[in-house]
Amino acid sequence: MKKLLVFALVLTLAIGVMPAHAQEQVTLRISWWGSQTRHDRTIEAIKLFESQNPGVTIEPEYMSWNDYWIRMATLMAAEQLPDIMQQDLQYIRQYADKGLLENLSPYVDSGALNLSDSDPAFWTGGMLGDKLYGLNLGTNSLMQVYDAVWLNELGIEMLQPGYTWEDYVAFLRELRAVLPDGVYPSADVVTNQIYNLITHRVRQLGGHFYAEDGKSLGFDEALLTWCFQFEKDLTDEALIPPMDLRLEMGVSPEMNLIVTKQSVMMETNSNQLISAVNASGRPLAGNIMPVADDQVMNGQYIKPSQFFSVSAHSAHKDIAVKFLDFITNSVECNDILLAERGVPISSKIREELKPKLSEVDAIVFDFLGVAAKYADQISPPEPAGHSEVYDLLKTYDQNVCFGEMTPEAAAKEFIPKANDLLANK
Amino acid sequence: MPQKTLTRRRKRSLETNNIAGYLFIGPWLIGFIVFTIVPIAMSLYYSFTNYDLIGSPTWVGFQNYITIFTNDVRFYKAVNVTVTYVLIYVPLRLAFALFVAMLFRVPRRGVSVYRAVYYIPSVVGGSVAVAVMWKQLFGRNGVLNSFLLAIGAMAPAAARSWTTTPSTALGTLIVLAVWQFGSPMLIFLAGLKQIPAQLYEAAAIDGAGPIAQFFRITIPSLSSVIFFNFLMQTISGFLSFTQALLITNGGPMDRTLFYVLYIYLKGFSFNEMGYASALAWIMLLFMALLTGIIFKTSNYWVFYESKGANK
Repeated sequence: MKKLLVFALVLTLAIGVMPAHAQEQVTLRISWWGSQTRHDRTIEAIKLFESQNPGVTIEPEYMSWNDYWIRMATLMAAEQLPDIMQQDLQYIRQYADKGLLENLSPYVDSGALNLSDSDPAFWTGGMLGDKLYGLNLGTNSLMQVYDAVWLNELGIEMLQPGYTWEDYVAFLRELRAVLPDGVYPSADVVTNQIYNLITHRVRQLGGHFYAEDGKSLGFDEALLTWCFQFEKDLTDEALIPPMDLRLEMGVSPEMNLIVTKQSVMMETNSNQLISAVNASGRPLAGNIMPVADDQVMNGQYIKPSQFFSVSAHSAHKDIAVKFLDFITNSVECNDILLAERGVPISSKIREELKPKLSEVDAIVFDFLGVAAKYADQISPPEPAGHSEVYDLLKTYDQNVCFGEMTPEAAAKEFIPKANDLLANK
Repeated sequence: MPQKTLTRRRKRSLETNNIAGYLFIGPWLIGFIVFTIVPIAMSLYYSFTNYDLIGSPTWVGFQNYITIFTNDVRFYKAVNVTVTYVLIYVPLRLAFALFVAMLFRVPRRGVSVYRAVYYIPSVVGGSVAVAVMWKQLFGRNGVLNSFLLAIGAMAPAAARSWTTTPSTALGTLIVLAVWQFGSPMLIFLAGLKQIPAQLYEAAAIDGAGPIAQFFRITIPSLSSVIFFNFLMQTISGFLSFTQALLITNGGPMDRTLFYVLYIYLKGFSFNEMGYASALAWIMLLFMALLTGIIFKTSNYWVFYESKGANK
């Protein structure tokens, strides 16, 4: 018995040591967050990569969103970040500023990371200044979801891409006239979060929500007042539900009024369309956001759903980049992943995938094709104080919609407070 | 020298006894140190830093504490909400628990079944399921509104969601808290059974009615139990968190921003772990002070039988 144990021990040791003496063996670590579908598909894609690259082993580590960021914080403290990590717009700036992420631009220039089939609008969201810190894994864009069948029954024609804010309001009024009480033309003004309305409007005027250095807001009182007023007017005319109902509904598409046929439209990120369709059991379609007559830039933008970033401390950056290239350009790999992380950035891959998609996915693919025509480059990633500013904005927005504050007063109070928060970060 | 060897031997055996003792409490002691003492010490340290969960903490002295008291409107909002909540729900819950306990004091048929049934809310009260149910009950199309509409107590146009309307949001959370009166009820019930029957008999002979009996006998005899319940409920009230997170998420307009929820937001949503630690330590000191004060005042209104007999 004892002999057997010793033998087993020696054997394990030997196995552990052996690869070091065999041909060049490279082990990479990779982490992501997500659902079980994502885990299964990504692991399968990794296996394919390993079979194409003998000698390379990729050790995956995957978990839920919350666990992920706590785990990464710990690994960072220990200087043990994985070679490839999934990144998000909310965090990428913080990680890059601390010098933890590798600049991928040189690899793009050398062709090691081939983005020649990818429209820059689809991947520049991972850039800070002129450096690429995250490779976009899939794209999203804000979408006006609508029930085409219902509109048909009502005999009202849907707005065509390129419609203006005025068209939008006129359309909602037209719907209001024919809908019964308790049913609303739209469930929310730009995903029930004033943040998206402001972002959209400030971009149309050529700015961004945050100033370039992330230390102050990128818009003034007048613009914020306009947004608050716009939302309040829609609420007062019952073109969108009152605030208490919107709060009750929350942000998840499954809980949206459109699901229970209490609204004809809703706004959400395009990758959420499938949840709304599944929850409602009805076919739904998608349109882009309004444009403005006076706009100098498109409010619409193509948003990276998530990135892969390479650790600046990785010992095998070349192979990590090779894996990123594989994810972006390999048809076989994308046949496995099936756009689970959003619409792929490579036009070639999109064409390859199209016939293999479900009906809803095909709508989303087509929508992104249209959106890309009406889109300009994404705003820079959010600064560290974003979640607190966002929270503060929601509070003021509620004050306006519950009639506790006028749009002017709320805008006047919010701006210095938010600037103060951002400056102190 | 036999004497010496004996002591040495005894000493050694004592030492081994001690080691055995330490071994026995080892698991608990390690758990206590690793999961309680160390985190507490760490949070005290972090409260003097700008720790953001991502970078390494930098010492900022009392900066967090100064900001909290001088430049944080939401801190005062959170304190206001929490104190209002505790001041309303603790007396209501205790009164309700005592009321139900009085009903159950008299042995009737099926009383144990009722006791179990009334205790259920306390068991399930903190669960996600109840939070979801509460949202439904008090929602715009919820049970309460449907009922009010059916009996004509409310105009259809006046229907609001109770949980997301600023003036009623905290109220729904208080009602939920009062509804979970089970554990103070059981403690009251045990206390009521301890009151000697002859006190009531004597009072009845002297002509005291049920109301006089309640205020002259039940309440004073129960004062130590009331004190215990009051203290426990006050502490747990200040620590309320789950329901506000699940039902209202602190909103609307911060009207249900409980203090602990604010700590959570700061620490885990805004990544200001240092600041959140400072908030937590203010909470700890405040609770210690409050508990101390409640204990001091208890000398004036809590009656202990053993002490009374010595006087």
